[in-house]
Amino acid sequence: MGRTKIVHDENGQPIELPFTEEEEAEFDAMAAELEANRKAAEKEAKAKAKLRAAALDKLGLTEAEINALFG
Amino acid sequence: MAVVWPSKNNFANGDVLTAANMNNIADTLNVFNPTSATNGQVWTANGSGSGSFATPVSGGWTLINSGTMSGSTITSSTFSGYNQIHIDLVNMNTSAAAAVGIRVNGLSTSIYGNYTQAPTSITAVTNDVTTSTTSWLTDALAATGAPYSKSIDIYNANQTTGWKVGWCITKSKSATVNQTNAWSMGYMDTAAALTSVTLLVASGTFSAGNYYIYGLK
Repeated sequence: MGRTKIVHDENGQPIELPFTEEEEAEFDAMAAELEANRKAAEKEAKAKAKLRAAALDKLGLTEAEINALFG
Repeated sequence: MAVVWPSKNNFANGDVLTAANMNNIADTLNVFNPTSATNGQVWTANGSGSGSFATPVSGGWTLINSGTMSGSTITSSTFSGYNQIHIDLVNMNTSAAAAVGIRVNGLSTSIYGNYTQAPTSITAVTNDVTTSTTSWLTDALAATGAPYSKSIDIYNANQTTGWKVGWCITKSKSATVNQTNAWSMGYMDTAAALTSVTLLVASGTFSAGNYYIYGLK
């Protein structure tokens, strides 16, 4: 089933209508862009976590100890 | 002597018709002439037994639209003249993991920017910025959780220079996933006064909740 949209009539009452083909294509592209962003953010977060773990190891501190010091 | 009722023939706006005028009543009647009021004026009591016609105080919030959230987009009625737009999304959810975006005036061009922060747990706050040039994303892209509520304000909505800025808070009662615990600043680089707002979810649909769109004159 395709996407739908809510618009409002002249009395302000909501009406649900199907997407046009152009709207479907645009939302497909937007969803793909957001998914790519999400994957990139996830990758960055993993890299940061790895870096943090290596730094803690070098310092000889636990996660709890570094959080207690710097939050 | 013949009784004349009332004993006073001509009354100006605000004159008081007294018992003496009426011959046999013991109280006072305040008389006003509605033909002296201008269009739109209302009678306003002064709390002391009288009052006057006055223009109602303008401004305040107007509910533009409300309803049950469904579909992938919700677009308001066309409006004008509002200095600020406020949107409440109450007890809402989405059918899939997806950020909720806002567009103004039906614009899907590259005029939007946002900065969004979302804690991945209660104590560890992580910048979780997601970007989309085609809408202001008001939360982080993450798995769906318990129903949540979201409130959005768009300021300087009726200005015709510069750009529009906005603020959004999102919170669930229980879930700690970052979609439902976020705060977000957004901008919309359009000089035009706002005439509509569109809420959107890029993947899936709005699966629960109620929306309330208000305008402030």
